[in-house]
Amino acid sequence: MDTMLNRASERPAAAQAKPPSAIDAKDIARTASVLLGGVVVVEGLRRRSAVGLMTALAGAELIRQGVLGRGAVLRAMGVGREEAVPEVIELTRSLTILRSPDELYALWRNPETLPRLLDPMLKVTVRDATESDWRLTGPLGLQAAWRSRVVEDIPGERVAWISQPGAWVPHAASIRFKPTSHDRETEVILRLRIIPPGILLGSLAEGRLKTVPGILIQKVLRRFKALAETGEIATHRRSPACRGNGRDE
Amino acid sequence: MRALCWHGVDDLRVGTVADPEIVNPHDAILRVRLTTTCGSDLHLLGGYLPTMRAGDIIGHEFMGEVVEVGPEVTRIKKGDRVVVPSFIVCGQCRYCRDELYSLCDNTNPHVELQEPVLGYPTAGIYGYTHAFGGYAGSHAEYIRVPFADNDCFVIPEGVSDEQAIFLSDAAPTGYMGAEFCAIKPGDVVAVWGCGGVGLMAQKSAFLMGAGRVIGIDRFPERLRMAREHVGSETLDYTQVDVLEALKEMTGGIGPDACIDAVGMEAQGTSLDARIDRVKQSLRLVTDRGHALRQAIMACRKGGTLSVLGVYGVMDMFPMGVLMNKGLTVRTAQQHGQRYVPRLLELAARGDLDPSFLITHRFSLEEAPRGYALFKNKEEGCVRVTFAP
Repeated sequence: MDTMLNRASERPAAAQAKPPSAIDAKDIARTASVLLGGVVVVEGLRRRSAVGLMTALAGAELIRQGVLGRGAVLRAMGVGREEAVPEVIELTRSLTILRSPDELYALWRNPETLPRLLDPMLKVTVRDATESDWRLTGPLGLQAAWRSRVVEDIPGERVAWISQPGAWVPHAASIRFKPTSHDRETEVILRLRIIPPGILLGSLAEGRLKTVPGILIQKVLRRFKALAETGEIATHRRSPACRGNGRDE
Repeated sequence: MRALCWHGVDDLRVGTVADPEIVNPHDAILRVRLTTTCGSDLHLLGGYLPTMRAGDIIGHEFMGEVVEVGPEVTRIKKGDRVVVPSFIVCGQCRYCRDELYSLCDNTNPHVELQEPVLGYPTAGIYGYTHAFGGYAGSHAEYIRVPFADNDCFVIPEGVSDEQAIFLSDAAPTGYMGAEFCAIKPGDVVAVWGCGGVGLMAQKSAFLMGAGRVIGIDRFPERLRMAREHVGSETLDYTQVDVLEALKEMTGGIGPDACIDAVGMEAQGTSLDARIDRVKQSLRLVTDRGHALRQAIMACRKGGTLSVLGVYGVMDMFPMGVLMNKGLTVRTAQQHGQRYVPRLLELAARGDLDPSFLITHRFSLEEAPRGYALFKNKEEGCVRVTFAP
């Protein structure tokens, strides 16, 4: 699984080339940093005081960052960020559930569970104990589909799966059931590693790339908890309302 | 069916919508017999709470008759006359186990709207924004009640609909606020607000042994209710300096406990109240917190501040006053399921009859007019009930 995610060849070629606009912005910011730094150094030295010395040192730091092309100030200006985007985005969320690891494992492996947890964000069709088909319908009718395969299955402890070649967003995920110090209570840890689509790389900071999958896996965990503890998932679907057909679909 | 829907700021209309149906196995459908206005609805009317959608049915304080139950409902059956607390709770999670029901983990379908603001999500509420679940409200002919076995409480024979309806929210909220104060016999309790919740908090304080209860408001009919139906002493904040008056009434000590039953739309005549009003009108802040600040100031050293008012994200909060005076702060949305059985018993024994809160009885079709009266406190309006 790790090997698969680390293979650079998996990354679309577009991701390797930096968008031209980022280069322009970066050059402007570096030049500005050097020039501003020079002015600040001169001003600082003219003061001949402790404050002046500090000012001059701050100016020197601006020059250093401008020359090297990296540093906190440049990052604040939105430059140097594309270098910080790693090839693999990793997210972990956990939630404590009032059920034993064995009960939770059994529920997770029930073929009806995943489709319920992900509906309607993702349509999941479980083929057999190891393979399932996933379909995402995005805005403007955009569709993405991929097959997923369970690669590790330790009853009562852990399940791991990876997307098969051809997925729009190649990813690997795992769920772990960890007993806590309380009886019949389990810490459930969901981990997701994705290779972001090239189109997003370089244009979004790492934090932004994590937002949507972060919300998704948190929601999946919350729903899993509700299903495990109450036998149902809270919803306001089909609620009456004074819009559309008189109810929310 | 017919229902009262929110379409925007101060825009409520009765419209025809689909009937609710059983969606989950623990659901029940109720025919609503009585449903009432709540002060917290005014924050929706004013547009102060985000995540409302045009067409949402509002209302969260109600009682009715069970007409249908889901396959896994066992305790409640068709024909039962029941009262339902406004928070929807699962009865299974760790918060329900600890009787902190409004913190239930499993009934809010929109955790992603709440978690960024609160850190962790709360339970869902009927008809009270999508951040609180997006559930349809009770100002309708029928309502779907999830987890009916936990959330429906059968009303005993001798307790009327009008007595039972406030056990849905105003009474348990007020009772909880008084319980937060850990009242010892003879204690002095001051309550800001003489609306439904404030009056129920005052009544509960007496039931718990308070020696004196002081109700603070500005509307003569509400102050009269506090005196005549509850037995409180009252202060009209437009006529007296509340801080001075409380100090004088308590021999220079201050009340042992102060309960805020006002919330984010406090009125007031002082400078901080005026600043709040300007900032809120410019949408710079969600809250006008004058009553809360005054309660903190008025409370005796080492006393208890019990907050029942609904707030957004408040600024100008006098943390230093709270800290230096060593106040204990207790607050929550109502953990209704904890209190309703006890309150039904009190009602059946004749020790609690909140029906005096009702000043106007309307049909559902007249609900927009009812809210206008309620919002502007016209015609001595304290609470309006709608019979769909």
